[in-house]
Amino acid sequence: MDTTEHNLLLLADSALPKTVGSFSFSAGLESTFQHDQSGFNLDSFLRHSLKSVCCTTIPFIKAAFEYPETVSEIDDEFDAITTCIVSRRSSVTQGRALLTVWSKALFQISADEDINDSIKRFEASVRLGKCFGHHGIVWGLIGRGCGISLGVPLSNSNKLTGRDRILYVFVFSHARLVLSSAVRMGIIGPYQSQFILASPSIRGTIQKSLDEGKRLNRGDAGQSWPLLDIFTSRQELLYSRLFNS
Amino acid sequence: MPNTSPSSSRVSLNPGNGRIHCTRTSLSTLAYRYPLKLISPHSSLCYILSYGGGIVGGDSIEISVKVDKDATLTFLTQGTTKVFKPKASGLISKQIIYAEVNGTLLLLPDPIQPFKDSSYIQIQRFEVYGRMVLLDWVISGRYEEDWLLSSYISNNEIYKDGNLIIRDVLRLDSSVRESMGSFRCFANVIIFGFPEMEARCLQSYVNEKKVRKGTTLDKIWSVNQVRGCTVIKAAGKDTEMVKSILRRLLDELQLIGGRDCLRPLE
Repeated sequence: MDTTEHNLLLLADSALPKTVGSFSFSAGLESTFQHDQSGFNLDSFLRHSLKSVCCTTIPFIKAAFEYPETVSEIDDEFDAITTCIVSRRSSVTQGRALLTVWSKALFQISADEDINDSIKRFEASVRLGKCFGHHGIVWGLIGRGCGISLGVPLSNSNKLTGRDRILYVFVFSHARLVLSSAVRMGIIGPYQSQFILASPSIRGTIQKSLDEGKRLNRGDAGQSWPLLDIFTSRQELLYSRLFNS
Repeated sequence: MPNTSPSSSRVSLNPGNGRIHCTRTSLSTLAYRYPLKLISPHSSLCYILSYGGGIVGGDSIEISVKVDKDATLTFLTQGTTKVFKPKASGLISKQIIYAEVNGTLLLLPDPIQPFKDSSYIQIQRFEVYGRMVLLDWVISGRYEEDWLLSSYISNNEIYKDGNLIIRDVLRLDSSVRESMGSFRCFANVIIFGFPEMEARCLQSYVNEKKVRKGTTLDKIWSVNQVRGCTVIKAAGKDTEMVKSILRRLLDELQLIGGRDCLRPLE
């Protein structure tokens, strides 16, 4: 294990979303389920949800990773494409918490002064209300801070670059978030959740969605599942709910 | 007729292009070239027409619009805009609108109707100093053809003083056949600069009945206020259901654009 692999484990660790508070969000699952219980299919929700998060967010994570010095503009542009208030709140809450985790704990893994400065400056702007601090943007930024080099394949591994791994972990975390929400809602049990996460088909889905998102420019990023925005918005209209999104 | 006025004949245009300049009292420019047709019954209303009621693969429509201060312009279509299957694969139909809005722009077309195997890209870019309402909607296809389109991209951008306010992009492909379920119509409305109407839209959304577990809805909608715009999204098992939601929310536009302007929602 080299340092970058260790750092990648930190980002993939389920302790991270716990600290960040991600588990109070279901990414639209709860509202979609409550609106259409009879027609609900978790497998199909997961697939469309992964595609949706990739088509909207991946180009921005990529941009934040590649151009940390312009992260404020990238953050504002992402905010402009996020027209669903509930998604926006969930993204900003997690992003800001992730910045806090960085400044309290993860900062020590980075030896790159430029990146550290970019993160510090961005965090200050977010605290001052000048920037939003969206989840994907912060993810790309701290992914870079983890010392994972841009475009160069990691040693002893396949052709995946460090950036690709950061993106993969983000999408994997999204799948885990949806599944853990499904467990808490009682749609599936914990073993089934692990079974789905371990299945070759979810790997295929993650990779396929990721590749699709990677092909997009920021200007082309958008919603692939229009109903999801409506369902997610209507989280606020649910009579009873477990999650904030 | 303004479309034969001397000023329009002087404008040279590429095929499928059109140009409109709406002043307080008239359309000082109204020019278009095949396969696009722009018909204006009076100075504040313009119909966007295409031959055969639709766009063929490879066709590219591009309209540039300028609305002066204190002027109001409503855009309508006559029936859905059909996107036909291309004669050769890989051909994409395109529709682009660029608008500078200093007055009021109401862009209220009928829905886009993408046929089986069609590919469509729509880009609408607005520089807004006045106010505008944009309706952008899509239905599942021809009768008994549900979401068999090959690709569909709709990209709406609103800028103010050079800053991006909203970019709402819809990217559909063959996966919508499953993800849309039995919903056959999806509409997106962006409202900018109508504070009172926007507040009423939000209020009527907030007042919606609370959703209880196990409800199954035939139509579903949301209203969000973001970055100074109001965004309404609505979906229904058929177009009529979406129309009924939007008619209720947008009713007062009649006071601005006249009775004609809500005809697409009738």
